[in-house]
Amino acid sequence: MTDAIIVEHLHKTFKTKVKGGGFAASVRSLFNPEYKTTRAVDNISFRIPRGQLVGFIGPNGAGKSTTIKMLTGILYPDQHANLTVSVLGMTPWIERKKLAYRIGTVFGQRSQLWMHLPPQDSFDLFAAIYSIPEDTYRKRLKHLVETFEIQDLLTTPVRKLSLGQRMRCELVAALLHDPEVLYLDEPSIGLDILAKKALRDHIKRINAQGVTVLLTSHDLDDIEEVCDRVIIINSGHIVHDSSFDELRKSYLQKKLITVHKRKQAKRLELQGVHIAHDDKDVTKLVVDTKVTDIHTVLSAVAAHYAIDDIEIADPPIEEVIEEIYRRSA
Amino acid sequence: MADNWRVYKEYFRLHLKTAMEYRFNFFAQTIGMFLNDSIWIVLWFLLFRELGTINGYNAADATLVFGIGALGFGLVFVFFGNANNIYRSVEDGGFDFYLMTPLDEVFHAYLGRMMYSAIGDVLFGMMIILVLAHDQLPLALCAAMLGAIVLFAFEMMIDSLSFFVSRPRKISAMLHRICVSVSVWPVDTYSAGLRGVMYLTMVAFIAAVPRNVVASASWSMLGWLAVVATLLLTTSILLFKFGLRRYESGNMMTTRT
Repeated sequence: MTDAIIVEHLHKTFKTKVKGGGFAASVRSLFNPEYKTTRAVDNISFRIPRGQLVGFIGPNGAGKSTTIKMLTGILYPDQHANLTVSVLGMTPWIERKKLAYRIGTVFGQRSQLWMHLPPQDSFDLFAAIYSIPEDTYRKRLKHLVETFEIQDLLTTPVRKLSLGQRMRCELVAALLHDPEVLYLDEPSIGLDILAKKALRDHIKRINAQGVTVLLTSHDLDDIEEVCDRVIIINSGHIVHDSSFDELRKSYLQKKLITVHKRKQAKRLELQGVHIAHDDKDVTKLVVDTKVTDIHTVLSAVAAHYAIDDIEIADPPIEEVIEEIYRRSA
Repeated sequence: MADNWRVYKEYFRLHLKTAMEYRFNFFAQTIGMFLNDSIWIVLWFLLFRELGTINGYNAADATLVFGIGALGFGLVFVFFGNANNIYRSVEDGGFDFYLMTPLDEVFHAYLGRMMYSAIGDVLFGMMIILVLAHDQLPLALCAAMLGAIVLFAFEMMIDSLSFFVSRPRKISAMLHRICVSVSVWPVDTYSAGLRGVMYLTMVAFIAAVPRNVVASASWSMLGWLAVVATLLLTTSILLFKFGLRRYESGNMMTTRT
């Protein structure tokens, strides 16, 4: 299988002005400015074969978006002899316009749609921007509208759509020109559980059609449900790169269970279960699945508490990264 | 190759459609600007009634300079309405959008907005030219268009500051105001020194020189104006593209309106 994305020794530094507090520091900075260099991406390398769906995760400020922006050609990386970046055989910042025809991008924090107009108008604009012939555009749009179930949204101004509906329209806009690589930067940000689930199904469907997908998120559940492989980045470094199953086996042996109770109960005593929080309404349990499997714990919880609601989650990404560092040290 | 004309038509349609979403605002801005510009005619006629002529200029000449300037300003801000607004998208990272598509980023970035009030300037400028230069209409329209290109080049140079200076909002607005307000005055009525400054900084080429082209009915002078406009535009595009290499993006929440 050929590689859709090749990244070797990618660096990006930003220079920012350092200013102390107070008026005197501001005046000093006016005449003698000091700068600090931030390494947003610090010598990362990876390859993504065509058709793979890769989760690119890390906490805020880890370097995820900066990496994606360099892979689209928006940002220039730091230049040095060992640097190699190739997306579909092209160097993004050199062949940006040519590459744009073959990649799609969705930034969860930034809409590409016109807020005051229905999505149909933005789609028409994208068809013009990507020079899609009229009949090809009509056919493709019909197919995407059916796939993403947005028939009823086409004539509603974007500002009146819910976040989930808007995100489906963003995906349609990004797929109109039939890209071979799709970058999704935090597409699930702000979505409720149902909208997240729908989005994950759509991402899987896009990937099943052969599109290589690089998905960034700081929600491990997003990655677990859809990705073949997970790359974890922190402070500009890649700290982990494996299949999700391997990540789970190595680092995700803990589960967090939050139980919303109808009435007070005694503390649950079970091996491998630590009570992190307990009050009359809510109990939070940390389960070590190496000691007791999750099914056993859930049965015990169901028998022990009068449950109103229950949530099961993976530990936050920050804890996983902490664990990766702890073990490598 | 991207079909720029198709893109342009689509953007124009979307801008007008957005304007129609808020009809009252649209008509209020357009008519308001037309009336605002019209007040200047009264001012010029009152002033020149007292002064007679200055350096051979009368009220009609000064009004024609203002009309050509208004038409040029209107054309720039109707068709390339993001002029003097690029700093916003450079600051908040919204410029990413223009770099993600196969279009030329400069062409695309300036299409991204339409200033509706500038339609009032276009209507006013057209009215003045039809009344005061109807016997030289093709020449007057060509001269006004070249003046618009000169103004656009100035705006692009001011916008390029966004890549070199942090938070250029105030300085951009100030330079824009100087450029626009100075250019619509009849600079040939100024003293020699000040006139020299206006010509050296090329600000005179926005409206005063186009007016002189019309007054002298000179197609060769129009040719020279075209050379200046092309040189300025080329320089500004090169400066903008050079600055763009320093673009650092950003992650603020943005939407397209």
